[in-house]
Amino acid sequence: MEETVLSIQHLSKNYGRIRAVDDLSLDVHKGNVYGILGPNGSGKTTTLGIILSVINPSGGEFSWFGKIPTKETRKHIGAILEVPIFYPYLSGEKNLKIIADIKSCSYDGIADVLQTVDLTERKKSKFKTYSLGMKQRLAIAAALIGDPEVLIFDEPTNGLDPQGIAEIRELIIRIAVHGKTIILASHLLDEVQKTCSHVVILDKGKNLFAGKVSELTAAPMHVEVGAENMEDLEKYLNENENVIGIEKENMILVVKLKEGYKGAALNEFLLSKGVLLTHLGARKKSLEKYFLELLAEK
Amino acid sequence: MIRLLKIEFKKISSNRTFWILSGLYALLIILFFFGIQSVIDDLAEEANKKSPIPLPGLSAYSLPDIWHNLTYIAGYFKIFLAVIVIILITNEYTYKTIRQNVISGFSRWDFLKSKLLTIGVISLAATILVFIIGLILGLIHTEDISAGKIFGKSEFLLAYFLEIYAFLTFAFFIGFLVKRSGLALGLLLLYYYILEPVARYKLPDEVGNYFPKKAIGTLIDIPNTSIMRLFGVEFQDYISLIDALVVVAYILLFGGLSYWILKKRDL
Ligand SMILES: Nc1ncnc2c1ncn2[C@@H]1O[C@H](COP(=O)(O)OP(=O)(O)OP(=O)(O)O)[C@@H](O)[C@H]1O
Ligand SMILES: [Mg+2]
Repeated sequence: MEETVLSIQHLSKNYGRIRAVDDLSLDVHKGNVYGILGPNGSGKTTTLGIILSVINPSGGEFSWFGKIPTKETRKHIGAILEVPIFYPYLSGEKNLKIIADIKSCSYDGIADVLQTVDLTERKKSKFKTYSLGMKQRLAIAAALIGDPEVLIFDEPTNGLDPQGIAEIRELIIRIAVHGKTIILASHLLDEVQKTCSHVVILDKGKNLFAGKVSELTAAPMHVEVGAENMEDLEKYLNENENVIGIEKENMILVVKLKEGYKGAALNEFLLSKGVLLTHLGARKKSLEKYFLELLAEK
Repeated sequence: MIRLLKIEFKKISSNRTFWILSGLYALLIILFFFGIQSVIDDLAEEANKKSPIPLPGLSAYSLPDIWHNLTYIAGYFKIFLAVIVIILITNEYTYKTIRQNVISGFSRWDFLKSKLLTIGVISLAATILVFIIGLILGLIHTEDISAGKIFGKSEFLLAYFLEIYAFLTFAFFIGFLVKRSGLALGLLLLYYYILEPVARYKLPDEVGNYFPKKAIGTLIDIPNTSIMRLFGVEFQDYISLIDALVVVAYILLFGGLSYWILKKRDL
């Protein structure tokens, strides 16, 4: 059985009549990377704020490492919430020192984390002189201080350049390899698909789905096919009762198959009709597609 | 405790506004007391010459009376320190750093404690400043210096510390409540110079005397000058324990209210 790092039970938060978080329950297990998805205002930041003890919940409870949350449990968590928050008139390095002091850990790791986010050269500059991307990087460095067991990132790549986004993604994967638990709220579905093992989908404060990313994207229900003679191809596909749907897409057809009917069987069938395929590929459903479908169903 | 103060000092260390305001305050107090020494002494001397009965204690700066005179006058400058304290707390809200402090591993109580300790250090520094000024001026203006003269009435210094600490806790509470520096300062001035005086005017003294401004402000009462004695006006020339306890109660009240708000509030 996997070790539970965070357990959330029936959590809710009301802002007047708005239910920002609505009876949310969730278990987070050690060593996994969780992506939290949801449209704007679905309660991602509010939920993270509650489990970091900066927002008081209206109801429900949560525990960290099987304990009642205290400042001591928070010292084992590195987190950024929404935007990088630092003292603008202090240098990046001094800001990190304050965080190390609060976490009661030594300054030894500071040089390392600065190196990790590529800010060593600018460590003496005041925070307010940083570019948006640099601020974001410093926030990630701050979260890494003290080698925490859990990392919480709320939109960590906000404002980063493509190279920066790729670097942060690499970094997250690298940290995850070391057995850290990561919770990542993001709007970049592709990023979540590439970095996360698990996904939680929120909508209007409710938990719509929680499970493995692979579960969502595994079933290859769609097959791409292409042939010299596209008309024949389409004609015979229409004759096959195992084909539920055909969609035209540029130079190929995307075919939806009945469950259990595989691409190989389709190929065999078409060969028997004298159609030689020039292209055959299984198409994995993207997280994005699933996400949008799920929200549309609501 | 030391750890919290160290963190607080790091936050303040490169805060230019803080150091400029603190420097201005110290400069103002020093210039004021050294600048007016001749004026005050002249006045005192004049008054004594005119009085039909010769009165002792010629100089306002002679030990040990100087402790009373100095702490009383210095009390008028405390609003300057309130500005500093208000900026220190509202900054944490405008920059949202209070939120990050808690996320990083402060408890809410740690946060409040670090601020109350800082206010304590500021009050202590203000008291030490008055002590040094008083000592220099007192030694210059006193004949037959003795340890008894120097340390007599030194309870006024303790009272001064209490007065400043209570007033700054009050300012902190308002800053904490409204989160914005301009608004907090406006409210503090409004309360001090309009709301409380008006309320006290309408109420009997037995009640009015326990209002924060009055209680904090009269812990050190107006020093009696020769002229006032002549007119038969007598102010309290000692620190009463009851007065001090009321002030301590206010410190606990404003500190406690701040904690209560901090507990309830989302950061
Ligand atoms: N301080 C607040 N006062 C009132 N309503 C709030 C407050 N904070 C959040 N809300 C509301 O709670 C809901 C959830 O907000 P939250 O910031 O958690 O969403 P989110 O999922 O993080 O959105 P985004 O993707 O835009 O970051 C929204 O409807 C928002 O308007
Ligand atoms: Mg958000």
